[in-house]
Amino acid sequence: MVPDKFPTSMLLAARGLGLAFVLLAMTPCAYAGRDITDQCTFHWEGERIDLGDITAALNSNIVGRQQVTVGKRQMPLEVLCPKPVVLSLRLSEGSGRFGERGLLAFTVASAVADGQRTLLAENYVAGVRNFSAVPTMRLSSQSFVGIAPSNAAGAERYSLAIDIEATLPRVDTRARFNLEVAAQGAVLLTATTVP
Amino acid sequence: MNIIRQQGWPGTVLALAGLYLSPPAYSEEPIPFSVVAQLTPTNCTIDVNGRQPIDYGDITRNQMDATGAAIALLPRTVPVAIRCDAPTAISLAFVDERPNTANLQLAEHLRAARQTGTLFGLGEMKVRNNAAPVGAFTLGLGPVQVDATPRFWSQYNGADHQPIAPVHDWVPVTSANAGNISYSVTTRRGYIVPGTAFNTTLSVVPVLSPLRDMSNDTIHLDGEFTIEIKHL
Repeated sequence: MVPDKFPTSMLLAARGLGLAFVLLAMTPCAYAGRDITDQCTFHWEGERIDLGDITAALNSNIVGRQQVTVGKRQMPLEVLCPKPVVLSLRLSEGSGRFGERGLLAFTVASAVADGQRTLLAENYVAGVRNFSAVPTMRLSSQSFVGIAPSNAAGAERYSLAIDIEATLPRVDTRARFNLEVAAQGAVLLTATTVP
Repeated sequence: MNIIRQQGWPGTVLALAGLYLSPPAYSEEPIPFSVVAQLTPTNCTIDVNGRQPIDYGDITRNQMDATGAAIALLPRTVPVAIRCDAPTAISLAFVDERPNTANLQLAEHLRAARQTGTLFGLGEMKVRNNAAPVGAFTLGLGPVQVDATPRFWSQYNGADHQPIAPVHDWVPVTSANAGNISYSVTTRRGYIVPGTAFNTTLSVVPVLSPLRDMSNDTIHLDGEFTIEIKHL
C-alpha cells in the first residue's frame, strides 16, 4: 500500500539526503583515495640553490622592467611509491618570497609517470576523469597541482622538473655593498592511491 | 518511538553530508628548499690621466724664483674617466696618501692664486737633518658629464647632496681625508644621476716651498692621492 501522503519528517530526510549527494558530487575530495605519502621516497637536489653573484649589470639592457629576473634554475624531483598513486604538489605558505621584496616563481614541467609524459591539472585528485590538463603549471600555496597520469590507476614512479625563477626589484640589484638575499620554504607533496 | 525516529533522520543525513564535505586530512611531505644569491655592487673603474703619473720632469734651481715666498708650478689639467658595467650613482672621495706633509704656509699663496681647498702633501725632504715639507698641491674637479649629458657636483655627507657652485669652472676639493664627505654627481638641484660613463677633468695646482727652505740635494715631488668611487 502506497501512502498518499509522506510524513513531514520523511520529506525533510529526503531533501537532506538529496542535498548531501549534490554536494558530494561537487567536491573532488569525494573521489580521493588513500593517502600513502609517508610510504613514498623522493629525490630532490634543491635543498640549497645558489644563484651566485648578482650585479646590476645583469639585465641592464632590459628597459622599463622594474622587476628583473636575477636567476633561474631547473631542479629535478623524483618520487617513488610502493603502489600506483596520484601525486599533487603545492607550496608552503610564504615560499614565494625572495628576500624582502623579491619573488620566487615555481613552475612544474616535464612530468613523467612510469616513463610516460604526463599532463598536469589544477586541484586534480585521484579518480576524477574530466579535467583540463596542461604541460606546465605554476605552483602556489593556494591550490595544488595534480599530476594526472594517462593510466587512471596512477603511477609508481614520477619524475618532474621544477623551474625556479628568482626576481628582484631593479633598484635592489643596485647594491652598494655585498649583501646576501635568501629564501626558505617547502614544496608540499601528497601521494594518494586511486580508489 | 516514532517521534524519536522522525527527529533523528534529518539530523543523521546532515551529519553525514558534513563528514563527506570536509576535506580529507592528507599528510603533506615537505620537500625543503633554500635559495641564496649574493648581491654585489656594479663594477666601476677609474682612469686618471691615462693611468700615467702627472710628471713635471726635471726642474733646476735656475728655473725657480729665488726671492718668492713660494714656487708656483704650472697647473695641469688631466682627464678622468669612470666606467661602470651598469647604471650606477657614484660619488668620489679623495684621500691624501702623503698626509701631514703639506706645507700649510703655502695656503695663503694658493688662495692668492684663487686655489682653495685641501692642501695635499708633496712629501718631505731633509733640510739640515730635519724633515721639511716639499710643498703642497690642490685639486679641483672640472665640469662633469654623465653618459654625455652635463651634470653637476654636489657635496655628499652621507645623508644629503648639497650642490656646489664652481669657482671659475672648478669645484675645489676641500674634504680630502674627511671620512664620509665625498663629491657626488647630481642634477643641478642635487638629485643623484646614475650612469655608466662619467667624464670630468682634474686640475692639479702644485706649489713648492720657498727656495731658501729647499734642500741642496735632488728633491722628488712625491705627491700621491687616491680617488675612491662610492656607490650611492
